[in-house]
Amino acid sequence: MDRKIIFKNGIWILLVAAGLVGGYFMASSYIPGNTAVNEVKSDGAGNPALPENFKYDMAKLKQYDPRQLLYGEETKIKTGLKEPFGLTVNKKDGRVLVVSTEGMLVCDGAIAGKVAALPVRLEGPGSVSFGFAGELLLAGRDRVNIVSGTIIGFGKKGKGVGEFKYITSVKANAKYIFTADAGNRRVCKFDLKGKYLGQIGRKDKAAGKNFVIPSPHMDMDFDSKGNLWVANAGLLQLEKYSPEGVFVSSWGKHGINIDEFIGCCNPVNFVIDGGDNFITAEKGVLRIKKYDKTGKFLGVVAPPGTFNEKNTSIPLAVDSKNRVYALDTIEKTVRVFSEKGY
Amino acid sequence: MEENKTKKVSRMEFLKNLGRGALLLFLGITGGAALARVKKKPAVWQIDPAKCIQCGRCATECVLRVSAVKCVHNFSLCGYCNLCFGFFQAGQRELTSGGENQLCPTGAIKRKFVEYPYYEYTIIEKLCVGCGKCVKGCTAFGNGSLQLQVMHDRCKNCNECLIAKACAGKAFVRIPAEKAYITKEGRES
Ligand code: SF4
Ligand code: SF4
Ligand code: SF4
Repeated sequence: MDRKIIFKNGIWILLVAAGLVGGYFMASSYIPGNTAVNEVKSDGAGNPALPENFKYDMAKLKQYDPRQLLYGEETKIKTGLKEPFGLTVNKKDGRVLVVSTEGMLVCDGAIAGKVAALPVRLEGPGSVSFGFAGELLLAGRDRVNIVSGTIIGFGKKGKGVGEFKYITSVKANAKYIFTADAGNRRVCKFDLKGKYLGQIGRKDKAAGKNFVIPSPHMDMDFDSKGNLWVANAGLLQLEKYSPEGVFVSSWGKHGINIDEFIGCCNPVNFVIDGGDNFITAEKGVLRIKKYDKTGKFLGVVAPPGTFNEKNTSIPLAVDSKNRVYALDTIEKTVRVFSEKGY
Repeated sequence: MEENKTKKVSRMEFLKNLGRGALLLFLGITGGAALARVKKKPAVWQIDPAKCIQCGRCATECVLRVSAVKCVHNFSLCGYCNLCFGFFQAGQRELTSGGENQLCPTGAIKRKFVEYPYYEYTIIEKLCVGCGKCVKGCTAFGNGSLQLQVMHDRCKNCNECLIAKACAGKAFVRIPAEKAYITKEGRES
């Protein structure tokens, strides 16, 4: 065949092919109705206003009396960590530790420090605290590590004996290590070497207690007498257990008032200071408050509006001067509050 | 004799070729577009619950008299709290189903006792107007298990969804019709 004819026909075929490809992409990129959407009009620009009974007023729930504010913010520490989850203070030497899975920030009290490597790899966020003899308890999602001269690790993912689903707090007294596992809704007791000794929680018929934990928030701390306090967040209560782990009493009531715990599950975090007062943090209306050892409301540490609203928990710690340290996991900062006039 | 390699194309022939070319290109475009239409999966409007800020416009902007948007309960996240902020007015002391205690302006949420301290909350779809008030309460104070969704047995799949146009959270998206709903965990289902 003549070269010229082949060439000419080739051009025609190329034109059809170009048309086909062009037409295909034009048609696939066109989504009906997807043009000119998301142009937000104000209600003044013609949108029918929502009737009053259809509105939800958050501002009302955030109100508080400024006279109830007991603390002032002393300083703010930038952690430099991507996803900090744990915060603790070593009351003996004043070291403040902020932990994430990628490292830990070590501060000298409220003075910002440096990020150091973790002594052990953590799978997922968990909790951190210092034990009775100064050992570091470092927990990932389902494993606890006791770090002193050596490192002892125990636990794995599961719901069986000595297993964990979602560790949210780890604390130790002179005899035992306690773990709060929000995933399995129970507190477990171990000896100081990690040997399983028993549990408090839904399957613990002897104690007759149930933990109602609808979200991954379940905090614990010891008072000066060595009693273990656990936040039973779904019941909006703080529960007291003897140093051996036997249920003793509880306090806390639900409601929107400043002296009550708001929402479905609060307090999400708490800590007990040197005077056996409770410092509590709530989600929903993010606020930190102070109660005495009987559960009587004393005042506000950080009012609503202090923290980034996206926080769903505010891990807390106190130092020997009763300064309150609060971890803003969204802004990745530690906010330090001290009592006014001190 | 030597062949004339630089033979001129007549004007007529040039116009003919141009016309032929344009016709073939047009045919190609039409064919390509048709092919794309055949291959393209039908799409529907849906709300991305992660973006919804419960502005209330779902209840007022839909072309239907009662909105095609309804509240749905994602029980894999929660839905069993005694003190449910999607069900109760904030500040309620009496945790009972009395109308004065309820948050929903149309009484579209049913509360059923399961075992202490758990209750189950279900949406009576025909009463729900999609105002999102319960979703706001649940998102702020609970675990975010209540969410708004366009219900496809009601939605007209308008070419230009009026709620999408007014949506303050830019939460309206087009998704394949075979996966017509989006759960809070971010999965289409
Ligand atoms: S509060 Fe609004 S969105 Fe929720 S169930 Fe009632 S009508 Fe539906
Ligand atoms: S597409 Fe039309 S019918 Fe469906 S939700 Fe939007 S406005 Fe309502
Ligand atoms: S219009 Fe948008 S932001 Fe407002 S309630 Fe509906 S989906 Fe949510």
